Amino acid sequence: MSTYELNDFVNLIKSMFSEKENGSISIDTDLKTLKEWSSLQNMILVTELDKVYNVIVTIEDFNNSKTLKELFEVIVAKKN
Amino acid sequence: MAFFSTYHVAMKGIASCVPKNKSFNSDLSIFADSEREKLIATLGIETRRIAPKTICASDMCLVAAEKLIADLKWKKEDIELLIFVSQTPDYILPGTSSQLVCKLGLSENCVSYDLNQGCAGYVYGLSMACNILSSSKLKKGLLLIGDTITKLISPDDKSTVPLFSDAGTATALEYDENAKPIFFDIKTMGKDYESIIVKGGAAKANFNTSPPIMAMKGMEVFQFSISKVNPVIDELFDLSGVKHQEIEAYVFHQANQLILDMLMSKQKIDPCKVPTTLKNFGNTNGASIPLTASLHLKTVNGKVLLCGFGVGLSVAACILEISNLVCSELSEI
Repeated sequence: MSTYELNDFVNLIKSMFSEKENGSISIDTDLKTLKEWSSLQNMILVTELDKVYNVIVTIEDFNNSKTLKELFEVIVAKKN
Repeated sequence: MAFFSTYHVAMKGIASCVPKNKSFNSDLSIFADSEREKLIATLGIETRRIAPKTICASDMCLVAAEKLIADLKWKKEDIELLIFVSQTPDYILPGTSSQLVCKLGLSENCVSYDLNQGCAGYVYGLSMACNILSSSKLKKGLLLIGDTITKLISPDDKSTVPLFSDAGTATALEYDENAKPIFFDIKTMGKDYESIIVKGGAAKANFNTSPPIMAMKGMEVFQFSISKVNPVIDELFDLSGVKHQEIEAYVFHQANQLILDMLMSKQKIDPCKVPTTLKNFGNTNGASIPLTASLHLKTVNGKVLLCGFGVGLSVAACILEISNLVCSELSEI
């Protein structure tokens, strides 16, 4: 997938957080370090990623991804 | 696979009973304002029913059963089977079903069973009742399922408090040579038994006396729900030969709206065919399927798919045909 798609992914993630939080989100962000990160937020994100990419991202995928870029690569790998 | 069919059993009616006492998620002080709004929108739950200390699941099932027997004009002496499904029984022993036989004034010739099952318990219980009625040719049976699961919840637990609610239900089943087969598909994923668990109060905890509390690994249960339920439904359709377009209604365990949305999306189901009771009654554990059915299937005739999933972990789905199902008016105690 191209850089453009990675940017789309980051923008999708940003849209799921408040304005207070999403200004600091980039490809290097670890979602688990965000103040608004919670199990509810995690569930909402899994649902949204499934809608957009038709991929179910697991707890292990989140735990193993240290940055948004890594999480995006997991999704790309699952789609291929 | 645990796919099987049962024959000659018809579902005749369903009744439900909930506590009068209401709790509103908008009042929950354990959440910040912004968190609370998102929570209500995501879970789809506004109001929950909470049983007071004096009311057990068996009490609500008793009220529902009396109402249903009266509405069906059944003679109590014809009821030869009673199954009580619950994870909040009256006592560790004896089983609650034997007391219910007595309290309902049923005959000593009535066979009674207790079944310890949760969110998938309705379909588990239905499979058990249908198999017994079908093979024994006992005439009439009652499947009672209910829980006061809120008594097992810590008031500070953000993952369980906004979800759970109490209810008791009764379903009437009858041996009927003309009834269409019921198709079941049931899976047990016991390796994940700790995902939803109450550790205290039983033998592993040496019957300790501190209040037993339910612990739920919310994300694990969510992942299980969105990844393990759909394959069971697919398999049920595949092996039964029933087509999606033949289904008039899908009654899912009322876990939360996010999970229901995922199931509808994956199965490409028209939301009009998926009744819910989440908004006003929350997640009532094993009672959620019959509660939802009793409030929404009155005018439905034809094939319906029921699917429960959760504690165990387990998934249980079935397809049955209903016709002029008696759905009693909701009782409150």
